[in-house]
Amino acid sequence: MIKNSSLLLVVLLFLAACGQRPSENLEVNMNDVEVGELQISSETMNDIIQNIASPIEVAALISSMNIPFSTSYLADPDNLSTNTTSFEMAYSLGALSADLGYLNIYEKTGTAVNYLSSINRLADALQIGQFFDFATIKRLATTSSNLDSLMFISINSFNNMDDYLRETDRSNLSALMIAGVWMEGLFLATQVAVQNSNEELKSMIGEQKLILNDLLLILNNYKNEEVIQGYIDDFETIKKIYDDVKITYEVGEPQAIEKDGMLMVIQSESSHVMMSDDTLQRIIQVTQEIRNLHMNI
Amino acid sequence: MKILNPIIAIVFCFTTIAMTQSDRKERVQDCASKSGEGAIYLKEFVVSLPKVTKGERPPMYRQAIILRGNNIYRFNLCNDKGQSIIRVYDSSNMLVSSYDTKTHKEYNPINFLCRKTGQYNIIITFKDGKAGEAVGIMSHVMK
Repeated sequence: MIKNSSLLLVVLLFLAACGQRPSENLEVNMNDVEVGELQISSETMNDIIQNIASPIEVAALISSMNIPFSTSYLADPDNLSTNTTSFEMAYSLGALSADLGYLNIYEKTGTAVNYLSSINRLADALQIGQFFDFATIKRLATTSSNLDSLMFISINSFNNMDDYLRETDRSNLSALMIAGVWMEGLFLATQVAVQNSNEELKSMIGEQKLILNDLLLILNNYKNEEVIQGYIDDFETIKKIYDDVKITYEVGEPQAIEKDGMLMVIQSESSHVMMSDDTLQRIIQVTQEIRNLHMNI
Repeated sequence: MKILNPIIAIVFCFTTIAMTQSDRKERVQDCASKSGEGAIYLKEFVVSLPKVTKGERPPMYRQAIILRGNNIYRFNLCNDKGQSIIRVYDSSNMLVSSYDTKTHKEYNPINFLCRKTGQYNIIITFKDGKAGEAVGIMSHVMK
């Protein structure tokens, strides 16, 4: 009986331990929330910040500018070495996810199959393949039957893989995966900028200075790992050029407009990027060199 | 029989996890499908909060996030229990709220035209400090 009870206790503890991580419950005075005086330390934010690099946001912006699709911006998954470390695989997984986002946004789902296979292989090797529903994504991509579902499952799989890496104490790989997404997104934007002079695109490239700072803060947590230090060095090279980019802010109160029953809040506080053409050219060149280096191109 | 007990317990554990993950994915996908036309899912916020206890501060869910300038973000909520409210803060000010405390009007979904790339905070609470369960979806809206 005692033996059975002990066993039950162990099982209950195991059940509690192996369940999903609960969402973060922080308590604040509701009045503080209402009046908008919430203060969160920058240290805490750096630990938990999300959406540093998104596999689709750069592609969506480029698409909204009516810039034609080109495969020349994309990495060739066949060029990826099969004999790599988990660090390199995590980085490549992020980069290919950004390329997949670009293909999906432009509805080039047939071309995406090569990328899906490579992502699936990398995910399996990193033991996160259970979050990448390869069969369903491939079916949706090849039949082009439901683009919304394809987009959802692709992005949701990426988020789940990233979450799982952090939950299983592999935040270093998560950081590299995010770094891969960011670098591929910057490469995509800069290559488009080579052929298209567009102020909005230029501004978006300039604002990456802010995101690069956050990304480096995260990567620097793992600088004692030699391979990650290599990535940090490369990203620092880009950061040095970004030091010449100036961003100013214009203060303003947000405005709300209601249209068709939906509220749109427009942020009046805005940022303005000042970046010379020479600086842009240097960012384009160095981004290309570093991106190609890590993608074996 | 003694050998079977731990095996059953372990199978039960893994089945429970698999069902919980599957249930979560379904809830998220269902809520994302309600985000409206032109919205591309980016992130989910799965929230479960207890009711406020007397003398204590109401619980909340918080997530720091990067938003990019010149992008439209859409936030929509799907309540399983209670009435959730989503708010977006920059470093110090509330920019967006799905609930207007003056008019008691709810906005779900709600769009946010971001004009400054940087860190923001997503805060989700439940109305009147009640216990609740909800899924929040953040989407990118194609211009």
